[in-house]
Amino acid sequence: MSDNNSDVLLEVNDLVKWFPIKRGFFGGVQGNVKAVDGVSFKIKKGEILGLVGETGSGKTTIGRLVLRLIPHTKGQVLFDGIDITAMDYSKFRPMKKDMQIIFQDPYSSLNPRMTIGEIIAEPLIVHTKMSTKEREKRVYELLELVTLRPEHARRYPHEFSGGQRQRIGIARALALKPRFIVADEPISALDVSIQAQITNLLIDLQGRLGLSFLFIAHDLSVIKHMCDSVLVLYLGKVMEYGTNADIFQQSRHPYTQALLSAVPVPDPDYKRDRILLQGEIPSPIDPPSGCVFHTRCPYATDKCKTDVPELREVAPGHLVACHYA
Amino acid sequence: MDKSNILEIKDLHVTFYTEDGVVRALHGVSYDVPENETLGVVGESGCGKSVTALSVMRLLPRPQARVEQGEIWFRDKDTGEEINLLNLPEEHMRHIRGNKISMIFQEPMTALNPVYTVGDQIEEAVLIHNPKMSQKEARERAIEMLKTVGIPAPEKRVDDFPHQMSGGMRQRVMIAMALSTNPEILIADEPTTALDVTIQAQILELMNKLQEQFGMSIILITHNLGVVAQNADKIAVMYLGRIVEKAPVREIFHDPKHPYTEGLLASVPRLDKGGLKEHLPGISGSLPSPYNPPPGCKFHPRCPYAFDKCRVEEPPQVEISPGHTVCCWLHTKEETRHE
Repeated sequence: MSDNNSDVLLEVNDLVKWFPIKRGFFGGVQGNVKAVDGVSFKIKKGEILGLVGETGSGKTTIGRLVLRLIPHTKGQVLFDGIDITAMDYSKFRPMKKDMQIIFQDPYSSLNPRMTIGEIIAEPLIVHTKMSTKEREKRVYELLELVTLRPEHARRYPHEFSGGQRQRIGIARALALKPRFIVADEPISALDVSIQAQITNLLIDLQGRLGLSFLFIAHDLSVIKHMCDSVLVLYLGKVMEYGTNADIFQQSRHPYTQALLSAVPVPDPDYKRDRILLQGEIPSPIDPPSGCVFHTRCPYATDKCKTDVPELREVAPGHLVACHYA
Repeated sequence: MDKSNILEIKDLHVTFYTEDGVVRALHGVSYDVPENETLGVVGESGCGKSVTALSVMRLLPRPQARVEQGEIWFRDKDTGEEINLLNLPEEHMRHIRGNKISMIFQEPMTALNPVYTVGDQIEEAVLIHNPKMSQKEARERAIEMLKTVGIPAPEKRVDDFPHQMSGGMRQRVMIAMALSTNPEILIADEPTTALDVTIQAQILELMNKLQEQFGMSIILITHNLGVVAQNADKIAVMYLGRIVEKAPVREIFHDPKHPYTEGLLASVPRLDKGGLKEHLPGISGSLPSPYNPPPGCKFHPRCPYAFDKCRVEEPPQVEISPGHTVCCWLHTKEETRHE
C-alpha cells in the first residue's frame, strides 16, 4: 500500500508461526503446523484492517502474535516503528497499554467473580498509578462511552445480556486509551439485532478516538461494512490484500471470489455467479504443494500444483497471490 | 388439514416450568408446511424457533416443558391419515420420529455418537425403521446415503468415527442419517451455523438438491436472513414465543410489514449494498427476559412506532394479503386500532 511511513502504526513483516506437533507421552516433535506462513501487512493510524478467512486460516493466531500474547517463530512486528518481537519482555510490558484486544465470547472473557467496575478498573491498576478516586471517575467515563449506566459498575457479569457484556469488554479494552485494538470476531456470538448495535458502537468509537483496528471476522458482509483494507487468508498465507474496493469490487483471486459468492445475501432476487468450491480446507499439517489453494481452485493448472505463486502487485496497493490474476 | 399441506401447527402454547420461574416459550404459534416446500423460521435466541421444532418431534424436555394447548397435524402420505402428533401414543410416535419426520442439529459433533462409526449409526437408523432389512442391506443403504450426500470414497468413510471427519463432513453424515429413511419432513435447526461459508454453501446446495430428488418438505430454522432468502419459499419470523409475521419469501424481504422484521433486515450489513462505516439502523434495546416479558405487544419496548395500545393489548394476527399475516396494531383495520 502506498504509504508515508509516519502514518503507519503497525507493520508486520513476513510473520511466521509454527506450532510443533508432538506425539506420544514424552512429546517428540513430529513436525510443524504452519499456522501463519509469511504474512506481511501495514495498518495506518485510524485505519481498520480486516482479516478474513475460514477455520484454520491463521487469523486468530495473527491477532495474538501482533500483541505478543504468543511467541512468534520468525518475522517482525513493528509498532510505531519499534520491533516488539525483538525486545525484552520487561521493555515491552509498558507498551501493552497501547495495544488491546476484544474477544469473541463475551461470556467467557469476563471474570464472573468481579464486578463490572473491578473488571474495567483492572488494567488501570496494573498499568497506571491512578488513585482510587481517579480510577472510579475513569470507569464511569468508560461506561458512558459504551452507553452503559454508572450503576452498572457495581453489578456482576451474569446480570448482563450478551450485547451488554460485549460493551463491557470494549470498555475494558479502551480503559488505557490504547491506539491499537485487535477485535477477534467481536460480534459473531451476538444476536442479529445486537450485532448491529455493537458494529455501530465500534465504528463510532474508532472514528471518535482515532483508533486503529485489526478486525478479525469470518463474515465478509461485516468486513465490507467496517474495514478500510482487507487481507484474505487461506491456510496461513495471504491470498489477496487490498483496499475495501479492491477486494469487494475487483477481487482477482479465485479464493476471494469464491468466498464472496458463498456469502448468503438477504435478497431472494439477488443474482450472481455462484462459484461452489469443492472439498474442504486441507489440513495445515500437510498443506498442498505449489499454491495452497490449488486443490479447491476451479481454475487450477499443472503450474499451480508445483509453483508457489508470489504475492504480487496487480494494481497500486492491490496484492494477489495467483499465477493467473 | 389443507390438501397441499403436510404439517399444520395450530395455536401451540408451550410453557417451561423451571427453578427460576415460568417461561411461556410458545404463545399461540401456528404455521403450515406445504408439501415439497421449504419454510424458513427466523428469529433471535429465545424466540421459540427450536422449541416449536422439538414440539413437532415430541422431544421437549420433560418434566419442565408442558404443551398447554394446540394441535400439530401431520398427514401420513402412506396411509393418507391425518394425525395430531400431540395425541399420539409414544410407541406410534416412534414410527414417525426419525422415519417420516427427521431432524438435523446445529452441532454435528454432539449429535453423533463418538464411540460408533458413522456407518453403524446410519445402519441403526435404517434398521429400526425397517426391521425386515438385513445387516448387509442396511450397510449398503448407509454407503448409498453417504454417496448421495457427496462424501468421497463412501465405502471407506463408512467405517470412520465422527472424530475422523471435519465439521462439514459430519453435517453431511447427519443429513445422510436423517434422509436414510426417506422422511417426508426434514427439520434443519441451524444446520450451517457452525460451518465455514464455503462449506455452508455446499450444505445448502445439497439440501436443495436432495429436496428435489426425494420430494420432501424442509423446515429451515436459522437466525441468518441470508440463508432463508435464497433457500426458502415461505418465511415465519418469530419474536419471544410468537410468530410476528408470515409471508412468501419475496414479500418478507421486499415488503416487510412488522417493525421487527423491518428492524432485523436493517441490522445486517450487506454485500450487495450499503457504504463503508455507514450507520446500521438496526433495532434499539435488548431482548427482554423471557421470565418477565413486557405486557401488550412483546416488541413494543423496542418498536420505533409503538403507541398506547401496543403497551397494553396484544395485537391479533391479521391477513393483509393472501398468505401474508402480521401481528401488529399498525396493520389492523382502522376501526379496531382506535377502539
